[in-house]
Amino acid sequence: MSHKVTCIICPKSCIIETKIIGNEIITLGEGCNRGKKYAITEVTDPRRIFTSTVLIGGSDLRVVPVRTTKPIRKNDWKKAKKIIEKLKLNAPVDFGKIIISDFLEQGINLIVTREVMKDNNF
Amino acid sequence: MVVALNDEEVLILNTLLEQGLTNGVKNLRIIGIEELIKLEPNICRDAKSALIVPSAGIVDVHRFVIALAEFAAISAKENGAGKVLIIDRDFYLGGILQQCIHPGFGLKKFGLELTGPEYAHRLIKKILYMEIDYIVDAFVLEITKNKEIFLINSKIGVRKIISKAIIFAMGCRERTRGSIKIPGDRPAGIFTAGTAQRLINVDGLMVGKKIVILGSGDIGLIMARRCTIEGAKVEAVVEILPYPSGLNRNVQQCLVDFEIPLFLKHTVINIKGNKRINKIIFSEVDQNRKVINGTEKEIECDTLLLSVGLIPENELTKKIEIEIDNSTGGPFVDNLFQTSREGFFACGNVVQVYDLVDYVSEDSDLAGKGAAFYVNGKMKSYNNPNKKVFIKKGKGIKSIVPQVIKDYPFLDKKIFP
Repeated sequence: MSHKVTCIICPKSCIIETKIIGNEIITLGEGCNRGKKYAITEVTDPRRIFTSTVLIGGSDLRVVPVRTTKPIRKNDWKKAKKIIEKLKLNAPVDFGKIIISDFLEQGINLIVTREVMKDNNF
Repeated sequence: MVVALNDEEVLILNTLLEQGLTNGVKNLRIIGIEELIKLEPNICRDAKSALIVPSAGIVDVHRFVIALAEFAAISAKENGAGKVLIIDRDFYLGGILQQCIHPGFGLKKFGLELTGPEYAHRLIKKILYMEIDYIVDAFVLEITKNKEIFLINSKIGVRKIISKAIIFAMGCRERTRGSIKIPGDRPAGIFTAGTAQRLINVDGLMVGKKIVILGSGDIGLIMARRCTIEGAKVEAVVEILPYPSGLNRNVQQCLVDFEIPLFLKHTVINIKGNKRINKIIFSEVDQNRKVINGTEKEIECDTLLLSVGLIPENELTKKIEIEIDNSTGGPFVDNLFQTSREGFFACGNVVQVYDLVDYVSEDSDLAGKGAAFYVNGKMKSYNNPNKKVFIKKGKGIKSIVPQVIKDYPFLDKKIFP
């Protein structure tokens, strides 16, 4: 069975062909090793880094950006959003602060990607 | 002129005078009340004396001034430009990166897949550590050919800043409905993609529930995904070209992943709605981008996002008659990003529209080097017209940056014999 995958690792966006032969996945057309790795996970267990925003109080910013430290399962974005929607943080928040550890029970952390000080950030 | 209103301030004047003289300011002197009234008849009655600086009405002296582009500032400082000031129109440093919360930045520069705010954070920390000055929430009204900058800020009022070199880093403006002339009603609910991005990611406000996106530029694609995650339904992305204008990886992870339909060779031809937009009509186009009659389709929506290109923001640049290259929309630059006017540099999207922030950083680094080089008086020896190469465009090439190459000493490859 063969499958074509558009690589999302870098802007080159290589189109990688994957073939499953027995227990092995063979890739064709990748520009680098990272692409090969991506293509293999894409056909076996597709994953994406999830980013969104979380409400924050006590600051002149209303929301603060967050991300998962590693890619989560592609189809889990709705679940992720449902959890994030209910969160509310309070300023100050440090850069890289872990809000949820073991997010979605996938051994991945949800972290803040912007430093927010109390009241006045400007 | 600095005016003293009481005895304590008279003492401060004396300190200022001493400081000024040690710093080599010429014709500095303190004047008494009589001369002060002669000079300024409307002076406040409490005035005791004043320090006069006849050389200029200086408010603040800086060797070097920039708008945005933290990278250029860091590079300039590292290369010995002396005092560096960043002037930013926004409320915070980091520019557009702060609203680009998606990953994909810094793969080249840092070897990591960072989000926009994370990329900006690294630079801001460095700016603070290096004690580079910055003014935020400031608007530059005018820049003169003598490198004077007039800016306005709600706290400090109008200021004049005198500088030795200026780096332009104003970035781009988005093209709007007006620039592509979409006919129809003029209801609310039509945003440029970048504005919507800022509203959602920084201000925490949602733009709509049923969204159509015109144009498949990277910001449009990223916004299709972002709006979907935020609970909106993106009905369609409509692109006039036969191929998506954004990167293929963004088509994959923003449209294909979320099953958002992409209509190539289509464009929006009418907008309907009374107070709020409620419908768009779009149609297929032929090879010459002319609408094919009879192919009209309707989509109900409450929001239309436009991702139809960017224009380098060169109003300040044009005012002081710096030459603009029509193919890039930005100024002509050499390989250290100096414009046609000496001591004025430009970097980032103000020079040309870049696809990747990593490339912007690389070029800003060079512009910073160039400005430091200029401030230290080393640029003059490289203005030899015989050691200058103009790059001409070949067939099928739209634009080239830099347009001129000079024999600067830290070029990687020697192109001059």
